[in-house]
Amino acid sequence: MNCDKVKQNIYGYDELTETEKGSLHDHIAQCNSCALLFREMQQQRALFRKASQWKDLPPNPDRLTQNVMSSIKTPAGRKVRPVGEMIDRINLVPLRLALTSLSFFLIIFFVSEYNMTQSTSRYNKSYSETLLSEKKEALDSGRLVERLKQKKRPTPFTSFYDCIKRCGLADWQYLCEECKIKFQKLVKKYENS
Amino acid sequence: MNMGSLSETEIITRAKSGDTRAFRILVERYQSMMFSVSCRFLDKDEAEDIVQEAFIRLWKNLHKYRPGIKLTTWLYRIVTNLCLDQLKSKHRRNRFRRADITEIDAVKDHSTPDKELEGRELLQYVLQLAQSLTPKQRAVFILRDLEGLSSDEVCEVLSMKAGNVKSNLYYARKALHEKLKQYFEVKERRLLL
Ligand SMILES: [Zn+2]
Repeated sequence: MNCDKVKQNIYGYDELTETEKGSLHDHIAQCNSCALLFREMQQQRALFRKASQWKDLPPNPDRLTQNVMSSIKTPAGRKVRPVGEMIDRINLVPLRLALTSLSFFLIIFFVSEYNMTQSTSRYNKSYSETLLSEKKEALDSGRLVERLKQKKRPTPFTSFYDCIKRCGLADWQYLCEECKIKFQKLVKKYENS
Repeated sequence: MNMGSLSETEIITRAKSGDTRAFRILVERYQSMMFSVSCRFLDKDEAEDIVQEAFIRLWKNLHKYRPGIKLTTWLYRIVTNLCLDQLKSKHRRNRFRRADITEIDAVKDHSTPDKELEGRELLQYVLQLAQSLTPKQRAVFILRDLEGLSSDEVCEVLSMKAGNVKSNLYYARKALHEKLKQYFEVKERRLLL
């Protein structure tokens, strides 16, 4: 093997087969120039290995994660399961069961209250008109948010159901005082049962 | 559901189906590696943006991921391509401004250090020397000699043929050897003293 070919092989030593390595060593045993290059390349490899040990770390990993997570959007064709994921996050089985039974309880409670309101016909007409205008208002989310911000109720609510329905349970603090108390009692009653 | 107990394949499968929590684990797990690689091509400030962009790309293309290929290889591919694109655009900008400024590479100090280098300083010194390589040589050198990837992996990451990787690696090591010759001579002299 001539020196040029050997030198080429020295640069790519780690890519050689065992046979190729064998004939390279045979050559450098008799050739000083190639032997010198071989030694220097060994040093070079060791230097790179040592240099490669230093790893720069992100200055703020949490911020980096946050930035990534806030910029990803679900690609088309993928299913999003926000509710499913929220439920998945709840690891405790008893808590899951408790929440499920609470929701059933609330549904039954609302339905019964609703039936009661329906049967009292005294403000049926005027009430349905108010409800309609309020439904319209509810659709105008900007105005609704504005009203919620003011934390004021224009009219006192006639029943717990109405109040919950109007504020949509968006936030506990937006319930009127009467309903807050009622709701607290409800939760306490549930906890004791 | 405790994500920590899941295997990597399961986490990827979940992330593929749009589970952002599973994806978050991948972001947390691989951001250090991605950042470290990016820092071997670019400045720290640029590296953070590159890592962020790389994860966004991963998220968008995760549906194309097939288990046959290692996730790290895929991540290397994304991040290396982004770094090379960034280097190219920087090169274009520099060429554009060359009339006004002295070329950046020429300004940097390539002289042989007068002390034994360690840690970050050593890596910075090697990377500075590698700045004179072509982007392809630089990428092959970084992936093979600093990241310790196998030749097959480098082929996969850079979508290059084996022969092409081999010749780029040969030229990179040869060029770096020319520059390091002086460094080794100084080191040897210091040992003799
Ligand atoms: Zn020779």
